[in-house]
Amino acid sequence: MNPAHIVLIEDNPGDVLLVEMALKENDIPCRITQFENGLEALRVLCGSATPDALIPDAILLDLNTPRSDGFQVLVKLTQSARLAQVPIAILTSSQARSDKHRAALHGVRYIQKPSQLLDFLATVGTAIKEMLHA
Amino acid sequence: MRSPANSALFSSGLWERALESYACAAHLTVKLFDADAHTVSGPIHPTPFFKLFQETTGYDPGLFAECARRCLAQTDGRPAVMVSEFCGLSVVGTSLALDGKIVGAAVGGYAFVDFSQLSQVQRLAQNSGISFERLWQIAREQKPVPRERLVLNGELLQVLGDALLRENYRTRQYEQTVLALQETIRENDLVAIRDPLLVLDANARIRFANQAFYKMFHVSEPDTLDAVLYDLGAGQWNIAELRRMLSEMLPTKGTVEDFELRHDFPGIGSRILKLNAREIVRPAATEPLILLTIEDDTDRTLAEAARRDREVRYRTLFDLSPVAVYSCDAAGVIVDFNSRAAELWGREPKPGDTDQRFCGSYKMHRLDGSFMPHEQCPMAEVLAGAIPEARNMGVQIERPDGSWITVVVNIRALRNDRGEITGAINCFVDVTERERIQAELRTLNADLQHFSYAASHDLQEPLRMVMSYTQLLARQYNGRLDPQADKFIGYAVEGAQRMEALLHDLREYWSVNEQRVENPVGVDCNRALARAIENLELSVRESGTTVTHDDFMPLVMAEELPVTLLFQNLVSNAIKYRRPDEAPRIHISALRSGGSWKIAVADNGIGIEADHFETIFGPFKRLHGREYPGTGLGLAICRKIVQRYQGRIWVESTCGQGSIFCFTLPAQGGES
Repeated sequence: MNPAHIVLIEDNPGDVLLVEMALKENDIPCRITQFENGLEALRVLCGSATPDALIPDAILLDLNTPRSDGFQVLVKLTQSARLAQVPIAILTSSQARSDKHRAALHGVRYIQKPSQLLDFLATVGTAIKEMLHA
Repeated sequence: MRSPANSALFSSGLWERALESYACAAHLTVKLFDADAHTVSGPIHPTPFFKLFQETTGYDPGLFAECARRCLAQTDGRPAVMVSEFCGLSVVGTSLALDGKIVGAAVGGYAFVDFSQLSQVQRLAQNSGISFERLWQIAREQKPVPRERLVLNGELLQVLGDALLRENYRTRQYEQTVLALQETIRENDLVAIRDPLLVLDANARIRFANQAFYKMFHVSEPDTLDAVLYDLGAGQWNIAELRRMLSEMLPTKGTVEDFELRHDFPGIGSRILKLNAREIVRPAATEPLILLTIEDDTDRTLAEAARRDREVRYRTLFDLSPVAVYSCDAAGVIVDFNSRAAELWGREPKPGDTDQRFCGSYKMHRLDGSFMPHEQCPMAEVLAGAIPEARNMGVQIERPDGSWITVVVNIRALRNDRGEITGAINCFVDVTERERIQAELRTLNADLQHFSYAASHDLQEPLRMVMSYTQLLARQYNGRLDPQADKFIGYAVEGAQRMEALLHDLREYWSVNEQRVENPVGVDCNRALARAIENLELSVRESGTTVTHDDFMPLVMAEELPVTLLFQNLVSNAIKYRRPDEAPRIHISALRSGGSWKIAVADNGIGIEADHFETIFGPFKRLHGREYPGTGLGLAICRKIVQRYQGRIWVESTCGQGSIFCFTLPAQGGES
């Protein structure tokens, strides 16, 4: 089985590490491409010249990355034809109901980062598994 | 005193009858003469001589006329008796006086005084043309009257005449008075006058009283008419002031107007009367009548006094009031204003100044700072009927010195009986300072909200890192470093956990605060409680807690999430503060109280000392240390939730015997 390709738009290296740990703990073979902000990710993923090799199997988007509004990035990602088949999830620590609501409107998964380590590993791992097998 | 026409003095049946009797008894013929010596009555009871003269030659010796003239010639006004004689015939006359004035004479004759003088009879025969024999025979028939007797008869005549004259005079006077009275009553339409009214004669004798008088003073007509006013009603009118007014003021001035008489009348009580008196002089009347109207001024005077008293009170209130007050007429012209109004305006408008209407301020502005012409101010709107009244409307006033103040105005229109606006009153208060403080408070509150939000949300992210990595450290390195390192990591994990709990509760506390009550609906307490217990399932199970509730749990007007949180916090507290030796038992009951439900959460826990009943509901108030972990926000959140729906929350507890937390929430369907 080819390792899955997962794009993680996340500026906090601590969270990147935790996500990697969640993948490992849940035995999900994958490679991760990390972008520190949404604009960077959009430039790479949605450009006309993006090679097929760069199209990921799943995208995890943190809402609070520098220099970009998470939802604007989300809109662009969901509108991109190249990414039409790619499951996207918002990965955030925001508990705001409005954010959950907006995510639902865009038809994307909403993963709230749990504070407890074990919860985090389980929640994120399960969510990614589901996204890959959807 | 006016003299009545002379003839009138003698024209009475009384005269005739009395003189007839007199003449019969005295065997004399009587004639009455007026002051001009004209015969006004007689001859009454002609004697034989008189008859003889009349029937035969019509002879008149002129004795009556002569005697009358002599009587009337009395100049000193004292009546005198005169005897006149001619040819043996005598008459006796007397002057008649009334009030010291000779007004007539009465003469009686002919008497024959002496038979011894035959020559006299012969002369009479010659003068009268009647035969001596005939005269002699008549003289013999008529008994001689001695001279002294004749004079006595004259004196009798005088007394009789005087009496008759006076009587007749009085009768006439009375008749004239009555006539004058009737004319007065008719001409002035006195019967129709509503105020009590009397007509008095000069001696204060009541000649007329109208119905109003009888009614007001509880006297009857028979008791009143012809009575002297001062004797009327057991002397209740015998008042020195009234006497003075009628006997001194009135005769001097002819009229007395609005004479105030205060008197306590037995029977009708203390009265304030307004008297108007006028002398009525009629051409025919011999004496003036007094028209006296009596107006009961008691009520008006008392009402006036009460009105003045009220006026003084309102004036004092007006002047003293710390609230600025002014009033306008219907056109908006300022009628008056108190000193506080002038103080707030920073100027004193001229009352009645038609150039500046509606408000005494220099300039006015709306709360948004836009200029408000006086013609558009709330007072103008109220006077125009555009708004029924103004309640606590905010307006800004610019004073002549350039300073601005904010006031709230309260204006109500004044209306007359027909409902037309006749003016309006404005009470306004300076709220500049209050507004400033409120604005400051708003800023402060917003800052605090912002800070709290930041504290609870923005701290969450780094805290999560701390939590995750301390836990990671613990997981991966526990037992692999030295024992002290394990302890340190343990403390770090625990501290991070506590901070996480604190931030969680803080967020909840502020979220209750932030959200407005959007749409209170009937929340089923059954359901909310079930959810709360569901959320607490783990700790309920671990602690072996029994949770029971009344069969009936009501619907309350609130929102489901906060009510669930409320139950959750209270039940979780009951579990947390359990007694170490006994499994927690919690019972939730509901009791209707007026428009609310009182819901009680009772436990068998450690209880609370009475000293802390109030403080435990404050944020961050904790009674315990580490043995009972907590943030100190649980009950503060409960109180916030309850207060959101105008409810109350309190605790009843005996230390060591459990607690009952009670709260109220509005019942669905409101008051009943």
